[in-house]
Amino acid sequence: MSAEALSVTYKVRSGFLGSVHREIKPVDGVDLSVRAGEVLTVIGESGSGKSTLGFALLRLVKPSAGRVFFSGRDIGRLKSSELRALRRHMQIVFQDPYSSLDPRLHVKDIVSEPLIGSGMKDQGEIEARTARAISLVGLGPSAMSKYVHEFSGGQRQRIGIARAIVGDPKFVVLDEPTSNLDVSIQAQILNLLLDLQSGSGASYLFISHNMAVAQYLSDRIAVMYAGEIVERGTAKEVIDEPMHPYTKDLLSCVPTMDISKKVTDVKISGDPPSFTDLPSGCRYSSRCKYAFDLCREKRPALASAGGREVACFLYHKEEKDPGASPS
Amino acid sequence: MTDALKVSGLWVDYRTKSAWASAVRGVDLTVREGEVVGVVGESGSGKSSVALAIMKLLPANAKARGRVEVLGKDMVGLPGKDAHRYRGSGMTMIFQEPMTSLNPVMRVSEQLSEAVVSRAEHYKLEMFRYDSVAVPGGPDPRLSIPQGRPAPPPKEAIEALHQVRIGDPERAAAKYPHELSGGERQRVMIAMSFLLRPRVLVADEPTTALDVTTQAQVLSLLLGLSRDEGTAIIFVSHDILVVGQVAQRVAVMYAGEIVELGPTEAVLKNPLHPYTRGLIASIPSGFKGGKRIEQIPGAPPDIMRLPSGCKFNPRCKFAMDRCRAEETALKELEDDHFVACHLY
Ligand SMILES: Nc1ncnc2c1ncn2[C@@H]1O[C@H](COP(=O)(O)OP(=O)(O)OP(=O)(O)O)[C@@H](O)[C@H]1O
Ligand SMILES: Nc1ncnc2c1ncn2[C@@H]1O[C@H](COP(=O)(O)OP(=O)(O)OP(=O)(O)O)[C@@H](O)[C@H]1O
Ligand SMILES: [Mg+2]
Ligand SMILES: [Mg+2]
Repeated sequence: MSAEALSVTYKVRSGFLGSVHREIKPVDGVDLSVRAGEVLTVIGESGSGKSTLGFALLRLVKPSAGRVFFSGRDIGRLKSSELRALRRHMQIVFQDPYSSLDPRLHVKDIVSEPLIGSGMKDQGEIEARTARAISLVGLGPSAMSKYVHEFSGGQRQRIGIARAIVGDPKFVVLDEPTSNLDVSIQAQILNLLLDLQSGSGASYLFISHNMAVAQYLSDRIAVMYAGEIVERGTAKEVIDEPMHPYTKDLLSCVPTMDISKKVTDVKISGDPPSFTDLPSGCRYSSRCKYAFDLCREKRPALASAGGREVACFLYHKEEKDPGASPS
Repeated sequence: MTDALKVSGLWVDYRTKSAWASAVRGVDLTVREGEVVGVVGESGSGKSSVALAIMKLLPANAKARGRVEVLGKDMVGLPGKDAHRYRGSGMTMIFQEPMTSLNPVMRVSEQLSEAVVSRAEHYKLEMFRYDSVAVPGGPDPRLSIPQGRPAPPPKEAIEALHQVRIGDPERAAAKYPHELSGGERQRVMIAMSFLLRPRVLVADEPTTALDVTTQAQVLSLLLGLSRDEGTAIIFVSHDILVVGQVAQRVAVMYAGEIVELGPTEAVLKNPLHPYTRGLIASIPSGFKGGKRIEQIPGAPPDIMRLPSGCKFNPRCKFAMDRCRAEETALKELEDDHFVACHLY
């Protein structure tokens, strides 16, 4: 799965009684590739565009610009019947296990939906695959003919995962699949996801705002801020030696087992970004303690530095002089 | 330091279709002036029920037994109509779901103004002595809020919104609660509790809906409230690491009981109860391919069908015959560190 210069635009209303129509771009020119068998995590604050990016990759929303390739094919150019047939190979597990599963359907009908939707007709095969997916996520066969409301939050999330993996997908977007769950249930789901992934060799795009979970699950991490990827590298690079000031600030706010490291001492000025009011230049410049003139004038590109990619003028010094030199 | 809040032998029962079920079973807990005590536990363990019982805000199908003394006054025995006098600047609560506590038909500014007025009434004497804004001899400007709509929010209210990092406080103040995002509503609630400067604050998952950067800011504001104003804070959370950032002591709840209670550092570094150990071991740590996180088998019990003996015994790898037969009680094992487990 890969994307080139992917952008998504939404029309929003603001102002008195929604009188002002504006466009926001929660995904703004993102280049990205998820390699075969890899877990790439997109991390970032609420509203930074993580879910929108995931939806655009699966064409659950239509990009306003850019291209998405899946197994070498430009999915924007597929006919809708071709896209439907491809669907079971690219799946999603939604953040909310309560609203994303149809309460009127039996579990087996929810789980088998991607197979039927992609045109599979053989009842025997549908049943066998459904039963296998349900058992892989650790639910008993009796779950098949129950309704969603008969299950706990953790079990519902397993049903969502069973639906995603039933068609042996090559690519799965996991949109914060554990953020509504208790740690003990989260631990069960994370271990399940790791086992399923190593068993199937599928690639995952994992979306999270939880650093500890991202670290535990990912091969690589991409940090998203206001619709852009600002840093990307191996999990170890990004977490152990963050380079972008935003990544550093974000990490310093995460509570850990070391309670002598106080997040209450961290000083970050300003608010999380609003798409209707983005600073010019680097989008983090309004909150960044290292920001200098160039940062407020020009948008830094994601470019390699220190073994990974960073979008920050602190590391791309050569750009500093021509742009910033006063005449 | 004196005890601002003293909970003893607290039970909370809910009436359901078929029967009564106990969500809180014999909880003892004290919070001193200026102290932050964390209450952690998984969904359904009874944290919110304890919080609501303290505030005397349990729903109609609930019954509380035991004693809850807020500033020396018993809340459980207090007639419902008298409880509201203690809420506000005496004690206040930040709710898990902020929409339940904000008035949907009042602008944010009006609600914050009310908080300022309510505090002013509570601390009337102090106001005249200490407040430089008050005109000597004249009415306090903050007590005379114009009737026109929308009411101009007092400077202090705007400042409180600013403190909780609401980007454009003036604009937010003119909105109704449903026009704000979940995180913004939560922060308005927190701003309101700053304005009230309560003696006792019950914060139920106050940062769960917030981003980590905003969470860090709010945690430091809550710490400031306890340090500078001496507010006693009960901090309820399912996240033991968040609690670790602010609480001096932590109580771990399981199936309606406190199973471990002690200084934060002792509980985090040297957890005694197998459940607390399980909770800490299930926090992800390390990189992919490293150590697998441990998982506690099974799920928390249904309060309608609690096991006999220790309520954790069906999930506990150390369970012995005694654990299935005999209830547990808190025992002090180390200085100020209590555990309810037959292993000790
Ligand atoms: N259908 C929509 N119409 C208009 N705006 C939208 C729509 N969906 C999302 N947005 C806006 O786009 C931005 C990005 O939203 P998105 O859901 O992608 O963020 P996110 O990073 O997934 O956040 P979270 O962590 O809260 O899930 C937000 O400002 C959001 O309000
Ligand atoms: N109004 C109610 N009527 C009946 N049962 C209730 C009611 N409120 C709570 N309960 C039950 O009481 C138990 C404790 O619930 P409580 O809300 O106190 O837990 P909690 O620890 O706050 O959980 P969470 O982390 O999900 O907020 C649960 O089993 C719950 O189902
Ligand atoms: Mg999202
Ligand atoms: Mg609760």
